[in-house]
Amino acid sequence: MKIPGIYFLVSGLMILASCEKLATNVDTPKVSAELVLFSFISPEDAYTKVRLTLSKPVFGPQNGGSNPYNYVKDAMVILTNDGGQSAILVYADSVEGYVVDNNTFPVEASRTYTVTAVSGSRKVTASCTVPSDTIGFSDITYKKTGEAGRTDGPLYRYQYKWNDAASKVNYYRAVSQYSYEFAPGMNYSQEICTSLTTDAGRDGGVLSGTCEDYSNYYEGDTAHNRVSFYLLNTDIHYYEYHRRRLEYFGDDPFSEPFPQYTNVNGGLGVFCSYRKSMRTIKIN
Amino acid sequence: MSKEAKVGYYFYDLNAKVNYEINNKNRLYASGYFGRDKFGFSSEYETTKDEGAINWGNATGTLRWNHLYNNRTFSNTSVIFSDYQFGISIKTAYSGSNYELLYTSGIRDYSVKHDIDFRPNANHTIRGGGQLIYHQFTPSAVVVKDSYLGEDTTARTRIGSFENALYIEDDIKAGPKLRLNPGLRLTHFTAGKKNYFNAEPRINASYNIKSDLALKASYALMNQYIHLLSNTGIGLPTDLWVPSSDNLKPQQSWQVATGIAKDYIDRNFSVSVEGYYKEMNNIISYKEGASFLAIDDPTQAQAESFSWEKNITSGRGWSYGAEFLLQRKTGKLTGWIGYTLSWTQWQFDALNFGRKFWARYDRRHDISVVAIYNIREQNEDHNGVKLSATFIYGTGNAITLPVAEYDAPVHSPSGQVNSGSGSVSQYTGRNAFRMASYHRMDIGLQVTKKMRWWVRTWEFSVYNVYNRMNPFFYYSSTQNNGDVVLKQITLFPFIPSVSWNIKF
Repeated sequence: MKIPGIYFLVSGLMILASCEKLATNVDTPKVSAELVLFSFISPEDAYTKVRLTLSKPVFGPQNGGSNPYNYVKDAMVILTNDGGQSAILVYADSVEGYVVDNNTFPVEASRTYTVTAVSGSRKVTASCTVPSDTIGFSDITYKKTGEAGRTDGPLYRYQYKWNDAASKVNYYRAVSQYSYEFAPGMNYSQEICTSLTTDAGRDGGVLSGTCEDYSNYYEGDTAHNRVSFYLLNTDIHYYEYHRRRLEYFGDDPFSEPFPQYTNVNGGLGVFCSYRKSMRTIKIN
Repeated sequence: MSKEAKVGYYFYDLNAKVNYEINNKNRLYASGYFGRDKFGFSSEYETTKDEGAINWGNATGTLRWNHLYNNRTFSNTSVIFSDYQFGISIKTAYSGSNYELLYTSGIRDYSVKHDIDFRPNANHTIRGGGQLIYHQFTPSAVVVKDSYLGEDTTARTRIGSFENALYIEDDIKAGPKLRLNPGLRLTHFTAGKKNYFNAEPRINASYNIKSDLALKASYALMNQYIHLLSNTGIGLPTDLWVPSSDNLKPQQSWQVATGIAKDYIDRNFSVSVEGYYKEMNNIISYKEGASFLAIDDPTQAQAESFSWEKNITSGRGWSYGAEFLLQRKTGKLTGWIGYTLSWTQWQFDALNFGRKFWARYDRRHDISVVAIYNIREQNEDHNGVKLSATFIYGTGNAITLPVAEYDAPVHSPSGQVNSGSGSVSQYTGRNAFRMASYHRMDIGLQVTKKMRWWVRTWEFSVYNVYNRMNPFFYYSSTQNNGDVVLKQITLFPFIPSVSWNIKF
């Protein structure tokens, strides 16, 4: 037996004050306010609207800076179709955007549109092609379970189906919206479900979706309770923008950055199109 | 932060090693390590008090038996335990109600390994062995308490898996100038219902053009069953280790490297230059918008909501670069100068709109300079005195910074564009912003003396001698005049220290 070799390092204990200071070793990115354009166009709408705002840089002086919720009202906004026809949109306070009536400048299926907006030295452009088909629901059913009168109300489970337009890539958004006529011609509305899907791997097949709702607002005269179902056949820009936007719930200190989709050259936002069908059912 | 904000940091560690010679053929070695780091902050403003902490620590223990069979063969058999824990705690007290969130993540490993070293003749050194590891992962454990909502929820995910390996390699002297080192490693990993088996071949070769000039080349295929999951935004860095699973394939990479090494025997130094290229598959990252803490909604604190697998996506990576090393191994002044120039890019279909981006730890320049000056050798008559200095430099981490915000409406089919439906952020581009470069210099003076029963060493050192404020993380802060600025937290400023150790 031999004497064991021992190596022993005593513990070290450090208590330190960390330092908090301005990050002077790096330059924060210098960005200026950009034009933000949003426009969702459709042959099924009465008019085309383009909304313009300015982005607000995060870093730098805030006094005199842009407000992301202020509308830009001094821009020149032009909508052009692939036939070379164009229209100048006029700002309307009532809808907080630049508009042109669809009777004056129609949005038509399968046509490509380009929007250009110029405000001071800022200029943005974007293009989209309107989907060719309006697709309607083939079936909508609902099932009600649970008791009325509970604080969370009964559970309504809706199921809807539609037939995909074959031999092309289709993007869909389904939206269900509850509305209650509380006085003649006066409605209270609330969106209850929204979903996005594509026909990838299911081309030409039957597509379907479900929506569940514990409706504590289904009170009063059930004869006036209605749920409207919208089926939008959208272009890729509409789909990609909403796919990200609908999953964005704000930031917490540990959330990952979530850049939003844009097809606007020179700025931010989205210019996109859709075809729309709608069906309303009464619920009891 | 309010005026009452406080931040602080502490760490401690314990090291112990023992070796025991049973006889001239058997030795036992035991070692242990225990360390903890904690970074905390607190702030008080009127009736609100916030406290938060991030802590991480490691405990390891190893028992190794070295056995000499004969003058050509020896073996090492080891039993190893390690436990890594990472945690975040947040407490908020507001007008009599309390909110508390505790998040922990960790890996505990139990392993046994056996290695044999066999030299049949002067031209071969054969090494082989096996290892068995039982990993106990806790990718996420969350406790949420909210006195206002009456919530008290605990969600914990625990995963056990085995990682096993067998390997063999041969160091071959194939003639007077050529040396080869081929090897093969067979690996196995259990993940849920799935078993992953992989073969990992590798080879190193060196050819002596002259006695002091050698060419080197290598190839290796590797599998990694444990993934590093890092966040990419500003804020506290949260590196988590998570296992491969039924859905998450092991990370696989292959690397080729080639280089040249030259010894300057007269001048007592050597120089080597090496270039490498590496490809990685099945690397992981958080999905965009993912958060591993649903702080705002304690009712979501269920295992399903916190499933780490739902928050991640897989992609590919490429890394290439060159390394330069100037080294002096003997003499009064020893040390090295190392420089690495490298690029590391990632590509994920689900991130950055499918475009390539720099990895968080992409480090364009990496420099290390180490110098040790032996002022006086220690002997029976006097103390040994050694002076050392280290300088390191690294390009800053690549992170994603928000640069602007804008209002982004959701389209309502029943009307037109919804207005005011919430602002979103515009970013620099994924990992397109560089944190400030990291650099510091440490110096030390070591005085060693032979005592009657032991050798005693005093070490006086200064960490970060010129007090470089290296950023640990950044955050944005609104000034009194409304301006928003980028602030940083630095953990290790100038730190003098004294240590004392003894060796029997």
